[in-house]
Amino acid sequence: MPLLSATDIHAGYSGVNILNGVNVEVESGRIGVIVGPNGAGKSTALKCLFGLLELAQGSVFFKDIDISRVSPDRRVRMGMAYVPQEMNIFQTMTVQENLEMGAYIRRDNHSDTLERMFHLFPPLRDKRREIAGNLSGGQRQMVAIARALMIDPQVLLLDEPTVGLSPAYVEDIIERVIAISESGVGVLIVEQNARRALEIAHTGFVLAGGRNLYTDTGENLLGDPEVAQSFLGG
Amino acid sequence: MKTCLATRKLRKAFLGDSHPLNELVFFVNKVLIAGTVIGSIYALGAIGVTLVFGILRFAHFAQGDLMTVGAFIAFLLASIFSGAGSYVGLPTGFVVLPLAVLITVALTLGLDRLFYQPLRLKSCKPIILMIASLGVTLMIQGLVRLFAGTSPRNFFITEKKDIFHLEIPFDLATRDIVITEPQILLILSTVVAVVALHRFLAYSRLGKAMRAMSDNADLALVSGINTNTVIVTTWVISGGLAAAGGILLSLDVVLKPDLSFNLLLPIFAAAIVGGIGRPYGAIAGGLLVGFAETLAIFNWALLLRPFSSILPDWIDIPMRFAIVPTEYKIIVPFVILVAVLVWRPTGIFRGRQF
Repeated sequence: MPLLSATDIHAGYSGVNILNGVNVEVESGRIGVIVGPNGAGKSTALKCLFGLLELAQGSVFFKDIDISRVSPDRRVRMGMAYVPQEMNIFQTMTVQENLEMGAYIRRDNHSDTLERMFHLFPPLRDKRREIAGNLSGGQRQMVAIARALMIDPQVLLLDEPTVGLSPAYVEDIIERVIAISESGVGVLIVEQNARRALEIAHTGFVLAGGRNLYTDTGENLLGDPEVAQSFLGG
Repeated sequence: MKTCLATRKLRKAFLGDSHPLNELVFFVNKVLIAGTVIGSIYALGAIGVTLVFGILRFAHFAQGDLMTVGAFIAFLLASIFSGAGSYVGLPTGFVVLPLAVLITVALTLGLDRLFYQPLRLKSCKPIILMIASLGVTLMIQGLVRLFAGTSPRNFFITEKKDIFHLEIPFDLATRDIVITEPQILLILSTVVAVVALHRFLAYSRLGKAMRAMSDNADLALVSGINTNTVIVTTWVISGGLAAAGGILLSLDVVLKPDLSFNLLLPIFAAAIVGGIGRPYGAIAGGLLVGFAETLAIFNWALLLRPFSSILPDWIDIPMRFAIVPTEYKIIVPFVILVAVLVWRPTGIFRGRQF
């Protein structure tokens, strides 16, 4: 069984179905990428995996346990971390306080994790006493990801981590994501920038209309002329 | 020393009070002390309003009534344990304050459990909770009148209220700075409460979680912060500070059942001036509204009179020259409230916008 998997999930908002049978999964140390056109249900699928949205049908398994009805805060305690697309930092708090809040559920000493985060995201070390809301977009995204990593999660869900960032920062964030997965974390990303994301994906999931259209390795999807024409701009 | 006092009295008899130094002392008494006193009370109420708004996202109109309830519980305890204060040399009403605060906190948590939590669990909109708090206000006011009557009550019937006269070490000054024991206790208690709150919010794990939830509730949930614990803590702090404020205020003046009615507008003005959701802003806002009130009702003619000799003749200094008559002082917080909402809706400390 994969580390985290969703099988045939259906969900939506107030009766309107958005997902009509989505299957995604990710292994430890691997990167899974969800791509697809706007309104395909990519972010909704990620929310369902974290329990922020109730499933109408289907189930989510984490470490062989059915967590379909488990609340988000309990999923955090089980080792899942989630970075929302927007409003993903505590704007009025310092960088260090943001990271401390990420480690809120940890009662042990988390100074080594803090140190690791400053190693992974060097710009944050100098800015640790600054108010997170005053940082640049790229640095805010670093704070958001570092906050989620403070629990030493086994799986990390990222919702469009590069949206609105300058190209240099996009590359920066992507490199960090690779480093995070190489440290043994299973990473699942929803991404607008489909081509670049599939280049780093072990598995890619192309969603359209709330269901899987293609599921394959990132390499195969990039090489598939049909996928390329419909979703990667030719 | 005796001769000095005698000369002072003599000088007063001949010259009256009209020395600039005396007018300055009068200003200190009427504005500096009175403003700090009422500003502290507003701050204690406004912190509660701003914390509840930050965490629970609704304007809690019953905040003023928590102050009344706290004060009446303290009055009840003071009459049960009358004379308890004489053992420690403090007013009985002040000695029972911690117990009264605890009881009010328990009642506040009860109110949340009975009225606000069920609405929250149904994920009602903030406006519904606000209307519910209006209902709670009316209910508490009715209950207070039912059990305690409508007449004002005084904590100092059997006990003497200590009044301190601080002499000014200048020969020409005949007026003293006057401050009462309850006023000193009030200012000191507010300082202690504010410093304790600051340390809690800045350094404790739970305090930081409170700030995190006020900043971004969804992200707090995603971080695994137990939102229920934070909500309980919010009620404990806001109920406790409100009760303390109500007790300290009624020790300074008298205890009236309509206490909350007169406090509600100033504390909301203070919370909004300070930037809603900002505890430090609420403290600043409370003092600002308090001082604005005392400055507005201060008789400025007294400060102008010493300059009558150097002012041109055509300027006639009236006997009373206040910006707002005392009876209408409630318009001061009202004007501040409207002005802030029009010109700087986020308040001076950039809180949430409505």
